[in-house]
Amino acid sequence: MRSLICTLLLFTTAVAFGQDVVINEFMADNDTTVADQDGDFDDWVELYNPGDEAVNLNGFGLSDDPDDLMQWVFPDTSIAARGFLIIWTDDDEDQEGLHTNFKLSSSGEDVCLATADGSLLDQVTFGPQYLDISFGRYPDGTGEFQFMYPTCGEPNTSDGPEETVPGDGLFEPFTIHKIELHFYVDAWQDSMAYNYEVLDEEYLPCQVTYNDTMVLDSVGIRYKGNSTYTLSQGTPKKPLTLKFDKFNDAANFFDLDKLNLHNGVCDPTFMRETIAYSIAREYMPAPRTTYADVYVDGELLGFYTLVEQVDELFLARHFENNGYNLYKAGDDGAPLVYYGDDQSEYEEEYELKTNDDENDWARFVEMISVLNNTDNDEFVSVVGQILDFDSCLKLLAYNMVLSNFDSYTGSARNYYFYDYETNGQFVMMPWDVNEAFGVYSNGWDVIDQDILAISNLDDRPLNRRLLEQGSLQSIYLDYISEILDGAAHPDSVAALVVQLAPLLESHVLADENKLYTDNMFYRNLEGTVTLSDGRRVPGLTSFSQQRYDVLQAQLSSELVYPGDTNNDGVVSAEDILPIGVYFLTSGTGRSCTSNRWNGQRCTPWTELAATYADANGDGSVDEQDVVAIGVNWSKTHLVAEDSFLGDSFGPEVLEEYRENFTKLYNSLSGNGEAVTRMRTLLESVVGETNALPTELSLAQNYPNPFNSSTIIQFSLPQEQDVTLTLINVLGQEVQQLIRGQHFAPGTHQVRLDGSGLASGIYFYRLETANQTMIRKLVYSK
Amino acid sequence: MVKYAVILLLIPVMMMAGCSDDSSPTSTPSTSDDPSLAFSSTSVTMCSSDETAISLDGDNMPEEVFALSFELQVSDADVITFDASQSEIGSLFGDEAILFTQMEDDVLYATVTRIQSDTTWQTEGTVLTLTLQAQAAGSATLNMLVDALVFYNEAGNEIEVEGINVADVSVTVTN
Repeated sequence: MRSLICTLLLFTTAVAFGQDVVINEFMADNDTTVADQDGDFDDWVELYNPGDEAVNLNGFGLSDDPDDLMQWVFPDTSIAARGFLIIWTDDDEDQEGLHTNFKLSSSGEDVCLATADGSLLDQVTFGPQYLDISFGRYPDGTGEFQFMYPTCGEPNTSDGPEETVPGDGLFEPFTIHKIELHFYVDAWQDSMAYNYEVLDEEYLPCQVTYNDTMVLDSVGIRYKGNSTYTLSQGTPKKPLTLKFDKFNDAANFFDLDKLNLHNGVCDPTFMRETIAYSIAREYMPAPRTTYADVYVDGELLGFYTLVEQVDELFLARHFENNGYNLYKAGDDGAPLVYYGDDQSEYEEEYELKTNDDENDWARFVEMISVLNNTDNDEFVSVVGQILDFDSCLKLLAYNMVLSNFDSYTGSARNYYFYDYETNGQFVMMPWDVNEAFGVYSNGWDVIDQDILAISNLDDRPLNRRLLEQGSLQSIYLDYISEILDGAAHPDSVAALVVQLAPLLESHVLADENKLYTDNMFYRNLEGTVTLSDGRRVPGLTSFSQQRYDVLQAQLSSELVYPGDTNNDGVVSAEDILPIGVYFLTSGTGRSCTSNRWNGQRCTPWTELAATYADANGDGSVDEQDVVAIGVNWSKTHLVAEDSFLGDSFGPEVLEEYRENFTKLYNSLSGNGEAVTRMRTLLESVVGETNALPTELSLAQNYPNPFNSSTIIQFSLPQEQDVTLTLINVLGQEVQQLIRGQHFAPGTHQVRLDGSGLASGIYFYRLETANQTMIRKLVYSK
Repeated sequence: MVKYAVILLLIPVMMMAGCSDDSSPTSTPSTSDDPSLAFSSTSVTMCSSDETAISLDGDNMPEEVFALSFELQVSDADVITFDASQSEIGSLFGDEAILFTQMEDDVLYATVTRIQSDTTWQTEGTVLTLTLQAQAAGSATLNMLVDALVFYNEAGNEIEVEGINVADVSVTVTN
């Protein structure tokens, strides 16, 4: 049953010191491969002498303890030039030949070779070993250690078993396993409850029999979960965790150390976790699942979803290095709020799951600090160095698409952060998605919840700060679209439901400890059911379709914040302008006419900017929309992008709307700051329309440096053809922003979209018939 | 409790000499504490080419009124029109309030709104002052469009203010 773990899990170091003889191969779990002279299949170590002369090893030491290099001392023995020598590490010195007084541990340790004077000659530190597979150098004497088919006393080869992944063979799709539990105590339920509730989730030993064939003794078992445990009070079928190496370091199950057995307490379909994780795995590191009937001493306890543990083995599957800190959000919520630099302030809300001996949270605290405290201007460049935006945005998008709100998005629970120091960034990953597809509402409408107008952003700094950045918000929306039309498409979900339903049916019906009726299983595949505690659980397929429709509509609509009529993220004097420009223009009204300060979805008008000018959503830009400016004065929201008149006052725009602006200027009265600013703005705007440039000029782009887009402005004294080109530092053309276009005299501007550009220095070149001007800009992702 | 209903009468400003203006007060002061909104005059007589001012005044306005929008229909724009550029904000909505008035075709569109955090608003006083421009001899009425008279609270929600009826203003322009 054991398979090979990828070599990434093995922490191997080899140290050779001057002299030639090296540890060349060894086997720490020999069952059938090579026997000693007495027919015993013992562990062995192979030495290799690559030199041209034989070496006498008399007095050399061999040891599995780096602090005791002379644990076993060689008798008068030589190893031939370019020869091999086998030493049996069987803790049986009574046997004739080279038999040590120690054994190698198949779970991993060290093997050391020392010279007669006690100097370390070679040392190998190895991880878990596998049955009848050796670990050796290839090529002999110099190569890196790797798993291989044993070549005891012979030159090593590169042949070895193919690498497999822990859990392969278990987490097969659409497979139902059988797990039988036997407790060593009679009142196992009382003991389990006591261990969980009183002894702080202490494990109880039990025997696990898998598929009637494999028996594992002394496996650790305990109840698990927070709300799921509480909700399972009325049934013996509680969520479980099996820890195979709890009482036996070498024990494992499909090479796994730990396995979660979830009881589907909130899911009459028994499919949510399976489908939700399968969707997640398409986009991010996420656990695998399968199913099992779980028995206790022959009696069916229930039908469970088996869920892969997020641990070092999981990390090894997804990262090149699995040795860094892994943090998990605590059960009471972990909002990523900054509480200062003292790590103890965070230990209540988060759990460090690896490297707890070091217990060093410095980088985690730093990540939270920069996330919360970095100015918007440098957020992307600074926070992006320590936080993997991509993983966060994908998970946020995923939570939104699946209405998976028992997550950071809603409850601030059920996520991991892996401090992947290899690239210096924290990677966010999901956990416990059993209440996806709208089971946990967080008080929201799980069908209609808006993807941007999220009520708790002030309490979720990660989401708030990411969505505040226009460039990141754009990526987030792209991910929503990608997930929606990808793995979470209602057709895909429906296909999985159709595939799983007949597979699960008989097992669900046989499960007499489930918390639902048989009929609820059938009904909830499509339709909503109400649980005994009053919660409404949306039907899987109907939810998927409805959520899909709602999100598609949201993606194709505009989010209007009443009063921010130019959609720049703040209600200010500038917001009077669109009302003047589009006064008495009409379009599609919103479903709800309101000046209330939240994002309101609206079908975009033919003139997109007018959509925002209709502040109250009644379908007409008129005097009533001014109310929203006063009501929401100074309020801010997440900026999508400027939609009103581009970057507001290009000469062509001014000319087109000069009459409107003039009329607007005359329409305003008031003695306060708001009106003063509006009128000052309009004075400057109207005044500029009459002034034509006297010479060709190319302005410095703004902002600069930039990370999403920037504006390049140029002025022409007379009408002429213009070409504007972005070039790199090598003078190579990167992008042509304007190609020989004819422009009227005046000031013009163009937006440069940075997506697709590599960070660095660029130049933009303005060419007319008789002049060329160049300026430098800096793009920073 | 003594109840007052104060109708503020803004003395029309004669912009041109040689032709007398005749404005009639909206009503006599009452003792009711019902909210009211009324033009300073319900009947205006002016000479062609003259300008005169007419104010819209409020009394006992509920504190929750944060903004007000209305549309004023001019029955005959050949007789009378508004010069929106001369509209003046009053004190009722506070020192920081915004007044927006725009004349399109025969309708004056108007909104006056407080600004959040400004506390200088009052429950009685002038909402705004409009400037009428006489065009040619004749008669016209200024009709407050009922459906377009909307009050808003601080949250921007429309609210009902009972008992508000703004009487039409009749205008006579003579040569």
